Parts: sequence; structure tokens; C-alpha cells
Amino acid sequence: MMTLKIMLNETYKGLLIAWNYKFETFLQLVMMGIVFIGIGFIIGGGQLSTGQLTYTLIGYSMWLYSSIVISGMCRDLLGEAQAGTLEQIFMSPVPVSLVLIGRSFATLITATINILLFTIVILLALKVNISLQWQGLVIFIITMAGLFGFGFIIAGATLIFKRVGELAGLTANALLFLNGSMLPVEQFPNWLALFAKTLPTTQGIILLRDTLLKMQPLYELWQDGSLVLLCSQSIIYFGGGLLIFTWCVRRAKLQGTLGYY
Amino acid sequence: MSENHITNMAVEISNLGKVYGNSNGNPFTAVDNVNLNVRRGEVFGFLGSNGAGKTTTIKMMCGLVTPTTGRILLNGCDVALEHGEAMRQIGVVLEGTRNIYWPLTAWQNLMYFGNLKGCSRSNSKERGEALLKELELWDRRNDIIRNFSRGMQQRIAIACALVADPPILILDEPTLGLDVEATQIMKALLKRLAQDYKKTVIITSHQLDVVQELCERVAIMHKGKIIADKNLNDLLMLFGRDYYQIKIKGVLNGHKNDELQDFIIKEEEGVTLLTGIIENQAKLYSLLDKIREKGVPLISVSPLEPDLEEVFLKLVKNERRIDNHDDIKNYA
Repeated sequence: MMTLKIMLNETYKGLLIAWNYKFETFLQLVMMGIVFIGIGFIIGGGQLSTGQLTYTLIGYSMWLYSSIVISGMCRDLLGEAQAGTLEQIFMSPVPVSLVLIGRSFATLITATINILLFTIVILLALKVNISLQWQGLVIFIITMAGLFGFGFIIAGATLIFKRVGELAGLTANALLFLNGSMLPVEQFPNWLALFAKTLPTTQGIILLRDTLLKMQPLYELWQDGSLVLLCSQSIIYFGGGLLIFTWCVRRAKLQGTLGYY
Repeated sequence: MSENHITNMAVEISNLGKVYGNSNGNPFTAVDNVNLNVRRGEVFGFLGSNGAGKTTTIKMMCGLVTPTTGRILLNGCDVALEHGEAMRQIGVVLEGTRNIYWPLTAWQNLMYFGNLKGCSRSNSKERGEALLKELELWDRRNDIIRNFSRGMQQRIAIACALVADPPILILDEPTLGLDVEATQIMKALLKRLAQDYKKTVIITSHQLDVVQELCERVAIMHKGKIIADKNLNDLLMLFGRDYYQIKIKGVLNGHKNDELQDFIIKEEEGVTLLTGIIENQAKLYSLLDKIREKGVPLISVSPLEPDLEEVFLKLVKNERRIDNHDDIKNYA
């Protein structure tokens, strides 16, 4: 009960702080829209094709989540180290990995609000049509678990190496080209497709397109093994991410560098 | 609680050591076999020069740095083995950092830190209100911390450390960067915490006048080792019992002799101050007789109260542990 309360406390604080930066968030939304339209023009060969935009919008939205989670986790931890509040969090009676999960909920909520606003504006302005299916929500949740697991690895690395901000930014940007957001993974060379499919969100984007655009039910995706692959990846990323984060905390405490930045 | 540990000690540190490996592969000993106890309700000063190892020790107490050797008990809870319970025993304000969230209000910070320590919402509210009223910041509870003065921010940081009502308060440089008025307010607050609320308060500071005013006991750390751990008065007495200052009218030109060669003599505005060691009363009277014989008017004779800064500098300069008066006989 106390653990849940501490996690929700972290979520609430994250939302309060995010509200303080609403103007910056609005500017980010505008930027997201401009980049998306630019990508739409490039992929459409100078035209905005509604069918292509629908396809790209699903991938782009998931990439936005990747970008917010990966860069955000690194930036938040470094920011807290600089502000001196990071060490206070580590003096909580509950394991810090649980506090981190609570914080992830705040990131998920704020990211969802931003991306929903962006998506609604795009849907209305460009007359893009996506049929919302509950199966899509299941795929989304499983994909997010994997993505946050990847975020925990970045967060752990931040505690030890400190200067991983640029690497996190690079990783987030590389995902735009590698996770199938813009181009289908099937069009990649085999070796690149194989690598791309191990990345968080790649398999999630494929299955979201299958459920939302091709209307494939979940049991079919389970039977053909693609949903099993997504679940396995997410479990590995989430569990592995928590383990790596916990190991990094232990290492930072041994090195005495926890609050350094 | 470890081994049904019931003592009157708030903090028990035994054989604590920390060795860091540096980039050259040469290990660096930051804390070397430290043994230290702090009694419940005590205001304890933990002193040392920069790099002495006190911040590493404090961080090991807070579970932020893992010790290489030794054990730390906070109210009987082992920091390494019972992290959660040990963390409930302490409220901490660390040095040189903000410790609280500047984009949030004072009230939001208090509620956040109360919940972070596992306090119920109602308890956090009750304690938060009492603390803000006590600190005269209740009217500013809904203001963003960023807009507060440095002194007010520091008071809020202490309130956040206290909101879960921990029995031990650890303050690393609590008066650093505060102006005179804010320092006075902070000292009054810390006195109240010890006297009225019976908190164990551990203070590290380079402002030794603050420590001398607040602390009952001090430990001095140097190069990773404890070189003194005594009641403040006992420590000062060790160095201060033979020091006298004699004030005479006029100057001593032509009257200086062998008996005065070890004295520090200051002459200014027609008054001479003689400061030095007089081992016993017989020597004091003998010296006063000599002064009378020379016909120099005596103004006053007073035993000197040593200050902590002077004692600290002597201890650090000599680098040896002291336990009793014999240990300081050969001090410079």
C-alpha cells in the first residue's frame, strides 16, 4: 500500500512539474506537427497522401513516445542531480526502482496528453482517418512496457556515466529511421530488419498497424507469433531494464557518484 | 531492528571505511576505520577540513554511498540491511544543494516529501502546517520556492526533512550562504528542535562559531580518521585551562625579561596585552609581583576561553588523535 502511495506521489509530482512547463510543451506540439507534415511531404514525394499519412501517423506517434521516454528519463535524472533532489529520492524507504516506475507513469500520462492533442489536430486538419480499436490499446500498453524498460537502461547509464544525454538523444532520433515509423521494416535489408526488430517499439508499430489499419484481431496476431514476440520483447526489456537500473544504482553507490552530474 | 538493539544511541558507527578506486588504479582511502556514537537528543557537530571524509561519512549514513567496511546503525536499524526502516529514522539536508523542488510551492514540497517517506496524507498535512507556522512561512505556503530568499529556501528544506517526524536530523552546512539574520533564525530553529522536540541533530559546518554555539559534542575528522571526539566544553578545556591574558596600562619597553619571553605581547593605544600559558597559580602571582615591582599599573587578569576555531586548527595541524590532556602536551 505504501509502495503504491509513493509511486502515485511520484506521478503527481511529475504532473505538477510538467504543468509548470506548459508553454514549452505547447511549442513542442507545434514542432511535432511541422516535422510530421515535412515527413509526410518527403514520403509522399511532395504530396500529402491521406493513406500514407495514416500509416505514418501511427509510427510517428510511437516514435514521439520513444523520444519523450528515452530523452526524458535521462534529462530528468540529470536535472534532479543538478537540483540536488535526486539524493533525497534515494533516501525514500522504498526501493528507488519503484519510485522510477511511479515517475514513468507521470511521463506516460504527460506524453499521452501531448501526443493525443497532436494526433487530434492532425486528424482534423489533414482529414486523416484512423479507426480506434480496443486491441490497439492492448498492443500499446505492451509496447510501452518494453519502451520504459529501455528507458530504465538509459536511466541507469545516466547514474554511472552522467554524459549520456547526447547518446540518449541520438538513440531517440535513430529510432525514427530504424523502428519503422517512416518506412516499413520489410523494406530494410535483411540484416537491418533483423536488428530493427530487436529495438523497442518496432514490433509494437507493426502490430498497431495490423490492428488499426488491417483490422486483424489479437488472436490472429497471437497465433502467427507476432504478438508473442512483442510480449517476449517487452518482458525482456522491462525486466532487464529494472535489473540493469538496480545494478547501476548499486555501482553508483559503490563509486560514490550518485548525486554527481 | 538489528539484534533487538536497544541503546540510548541514535547513531552507532563501527569500523566504518570507504576506499575509492581512482582512474590511475590507485585506491584512495576516504574514510579509515571510523568509530562514532551519537546519543539520542544530542546536538552533535561533525567537523573537518575539505576532503577530510565527513561528507562521505554522512552519505554512508544516508545510504547514498556503500561502505567498504563497517556498519552504521540509525536508532538500531542497520543502513545496509534495513534500508527502509533506517531511512525512516532520518531527515537530511545535504550541502550545497537545493534539496527541494524549486518549480513547486512550499506546501507541494512538504506534501511530496511527507509521502516520499511513507507518511499518511493527514499526518503530512498536520505536520506541514505546524512546521510552516513555526517557521513563519505559513502565509507563503502557496508560493513557488524559486521566488523565496536563500534563507527561506533553507528553512523549507529543513521543514521537508522534518515533515515525516524523523528522530534524527542530519544537516550538512545548514548556514552556508545565509546572511547574518538568516543565520540567527536558523540557529534559533536548531536550538528549538533539540530542546523542545528532543531531536538528535547532526551538523557539519565550516562555520565553527555556529557549531560552538549549538553543539554539545563534536568530532573532528582529518584525512579520513577521527582525531577528536569529545564534549565541546571538555575539548575546549583541554586546550584552554592554562591560557591567561594580562592587561596593563602603558608599554613594557625596557621592562621585558625572561619570564615574558613565551608570551605574545601586543601594545596598542597605551595598553599592553600579554597572552600566554601560566601553568599554576604560584607562577601567576610571581609574574604579577614582577609587574608590580616595575611600577606598571595592572588593569585586569583573565583566563582565556579558547574558541573552537583555534582548537580545530591545532588538532588538524598536529594530525594526532587526542583523548586526554597528556595527548596535547607536545602540541604546537
